[in-house]
Amino acid sequence: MGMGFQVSGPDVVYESFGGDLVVLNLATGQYFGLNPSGAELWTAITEGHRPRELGATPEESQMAEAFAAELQALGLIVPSEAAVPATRQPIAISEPPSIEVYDDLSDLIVADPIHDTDAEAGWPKMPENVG
Amino acid sequence: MSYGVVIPAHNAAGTIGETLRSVLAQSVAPAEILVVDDGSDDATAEIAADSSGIVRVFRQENTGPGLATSRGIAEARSPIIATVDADDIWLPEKMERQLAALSKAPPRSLVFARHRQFSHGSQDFTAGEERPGMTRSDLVFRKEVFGQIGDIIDPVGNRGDMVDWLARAREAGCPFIVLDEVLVLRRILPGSLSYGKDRERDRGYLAVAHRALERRRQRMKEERIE
Repeated sequence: MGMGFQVSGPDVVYESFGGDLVVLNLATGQYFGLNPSGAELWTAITEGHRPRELGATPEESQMAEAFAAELQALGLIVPSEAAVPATRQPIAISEPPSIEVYDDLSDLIVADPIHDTDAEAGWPKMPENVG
Repeated sequence: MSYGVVIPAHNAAGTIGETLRSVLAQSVAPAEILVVDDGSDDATAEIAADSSGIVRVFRQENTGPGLATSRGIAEARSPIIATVDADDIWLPEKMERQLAALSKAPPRSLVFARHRQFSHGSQDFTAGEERPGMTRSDLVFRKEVFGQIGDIIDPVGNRGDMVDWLARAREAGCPFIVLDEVLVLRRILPGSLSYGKDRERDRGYLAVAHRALERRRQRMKEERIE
């Protein structure tokens, strides 16, 4: 399986804050902290690059594939049929990528916005790959 | 137990009258109502001022709902504070129930209730989705708690200010008590600050999550030092 991936849906949002990449699932209220190599891989993977082609060495590409599988298991990315973008510089993975899951804000984030389920076609609902 | 009601309001002329009527109709009446008009260019302040003699209106340049709420709490003289958005509605026994709960709870508790959503313009207040209401419109607490937690900060996008403040309160050990009864009606109003998904406004939640990450790192650092 050498496919690419994309962010699993509009509930998954992310932003970089001075080098810290924060990913948030608005449907579950879970948020995620990535270390620098995790953040670099996140960017490349969500741009559609195939994880197995991302590393500078076979070991690094294996690490990238394992990381993509972890992101997929967390419901943050899904396989994508979209064309893979042009090749990019391999990523030298200096430390193993990591993603930490936090749910201390979940109940508050899920309670906060007004859910207009009629207008938003079923939102809130879990991304299909969660659970 | 005497309580004050803080209402941050921005261009809420179409809804704040109904909010104020529901506050004034409480079975245990408030001692004061503090409306912070956060840079409105409509009749919000006039409608609020005309609604009752116990209403004080503070006008300010637009700062966002969090700082506007903080200002109202700072101006309040009552020992107990309840907050409500300028478009939501309290059911008549809301404060009676929550004051009773607060009087039996640990002093630093934050007391909430359940709320039910309703569509703006509809008179059907019974059919909407019900949820545990950990929002501004449900919150009741002792004013002294506010000084311990600090101001409510407005993240970019003006969304998530209460998520941030409530998270800080919980980290500081304030117990959360959510009454298992619908006491608040939350208005579905397309275009309002909390309505639906909005890519720009939802960035506020990301900023709040980042702040929580930074606090967590700080705590871990302090634990290592100890």
